[in-house]
Amino acid sequence: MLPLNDTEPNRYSFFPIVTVLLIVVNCFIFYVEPFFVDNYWEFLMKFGTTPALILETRGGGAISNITTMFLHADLFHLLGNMLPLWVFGRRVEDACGPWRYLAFYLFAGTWANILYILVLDDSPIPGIGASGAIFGLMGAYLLLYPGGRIRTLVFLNIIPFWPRIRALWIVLYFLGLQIIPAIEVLLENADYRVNYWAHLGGFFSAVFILLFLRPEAYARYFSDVSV
Amino acid sequence: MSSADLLRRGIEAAHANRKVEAREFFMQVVEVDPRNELAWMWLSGLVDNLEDQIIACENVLTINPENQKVRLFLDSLKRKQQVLRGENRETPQKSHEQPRAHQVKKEHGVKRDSPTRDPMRVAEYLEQDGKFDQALEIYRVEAAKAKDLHVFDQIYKKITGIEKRLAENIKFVPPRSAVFRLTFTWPLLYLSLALVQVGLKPLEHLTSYLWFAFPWVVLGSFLVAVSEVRYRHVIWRKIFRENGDCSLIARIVVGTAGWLMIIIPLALLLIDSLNRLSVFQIPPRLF
Repeated sequence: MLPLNDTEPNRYSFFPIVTVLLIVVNCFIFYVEPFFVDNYWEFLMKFGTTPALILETRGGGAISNITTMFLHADLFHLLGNMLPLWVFGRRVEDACGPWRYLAFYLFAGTWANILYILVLDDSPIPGIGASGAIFGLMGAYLLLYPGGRIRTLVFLNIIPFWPRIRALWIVLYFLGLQIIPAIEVLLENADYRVNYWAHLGGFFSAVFILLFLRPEAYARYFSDVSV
Repeated sequence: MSSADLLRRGIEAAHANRKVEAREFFMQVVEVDPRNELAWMWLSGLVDNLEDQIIACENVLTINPENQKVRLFLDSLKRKQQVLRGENRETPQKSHEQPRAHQVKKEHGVKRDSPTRDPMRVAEYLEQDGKFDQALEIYRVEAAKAKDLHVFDQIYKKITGIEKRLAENIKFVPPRSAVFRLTFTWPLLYLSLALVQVGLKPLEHLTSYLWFAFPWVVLGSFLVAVSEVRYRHVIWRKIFRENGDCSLIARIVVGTAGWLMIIIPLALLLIDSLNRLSVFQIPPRLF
């Protein structure tokens, strides 16, 4: 299941400038990174989120917490994050306005990192990727547009379909994929390459989205009409 | 090209603000199908001339006499036409409407907060107080009195905005509570970043300037919110000696001050973080 596009139009703004800029910056950093980085591990330790270092107040702290949201391990990781950023980010930006949307994106990414640090407090492994912040956008999307429909690529055996599926089911599907591995990480110290707890941290930070909404969208939210 | 295609292309052009092109498409539609209500409706908003606007509206009503929105629009256009013809002084309509605007102003005590006698301001204040029916009444009177098309369009936009709001039954959220809510936005982000900076131990690694900066971020966020949400606030009276929801310049000044109060503490936090990163030695056991 691959979400492709949100089929509903924007209500308040014409162009999702911050969403597009975030995608451009992420892609640009991914492209130039190999030209400037000699020692990749050292680079990750400096600009990724390493729980053990954060808790010892060593390394970048706040700045590493931000830079980590713009680093990706490979092309699959990058595309897997940028596509949902576009799908779910566009209308969340529309409801918040560009600056508050940027603040929410960084806030969700930060709380994704905080939960990762709290759960795996002695981990020396640096976490990277925008996925925590993007799960925050997915959570926000679910709260704001529960009836929204997403054009989604689905394969039945090898035959592709692209139906419009309710956002609720897509978000619940991706959330469901996180919960069991996250519990395994917590209880059995399972070693996954995916930062499931950061995803959950980002997702649950979405409860604060109402503080970031533009006044009109906030009024609409509490009037039981589409935001 | 079928009339449906022409209509679709006309609507696309109108949405893209290509008015002349859109008008051409709709003209072609009504040539092919003179009873196309939708095309006449679009034309009523796209033609420049007031007479043509009235003709387009009348055509819509001939096709569909039940279209109340267009009837309302036509009424306001006709009143405007009367004003433009210089009949306003003689017509009883205006002499009846003028006191109504003042009457509403007196009834709701708007004068207490703003000594303005400008009915548009009065209507804006009523809107801020959630008294949409009274605001709508004044806007309609002002739309009828508007002497150029630009002013009329602005007032008409306000009228349709309120009508849409009332039709959708959107709850009224007082501007004061909107400012209160939006004040939390940037402090939340700052607090989260500061927490990461101090290793999630805010009391153990208490960095004075870090926490000293927090109230400034709160104040900055409040100022940004006040300048964004237009409403009568004591800040405009105390600092700028302005009544009402203040001038554009006062809002820009307050907004800029607010942004600086947010950006400077954030920048200091990130500089502190960069300094720590520059002296960071990667321990060998981590490799």
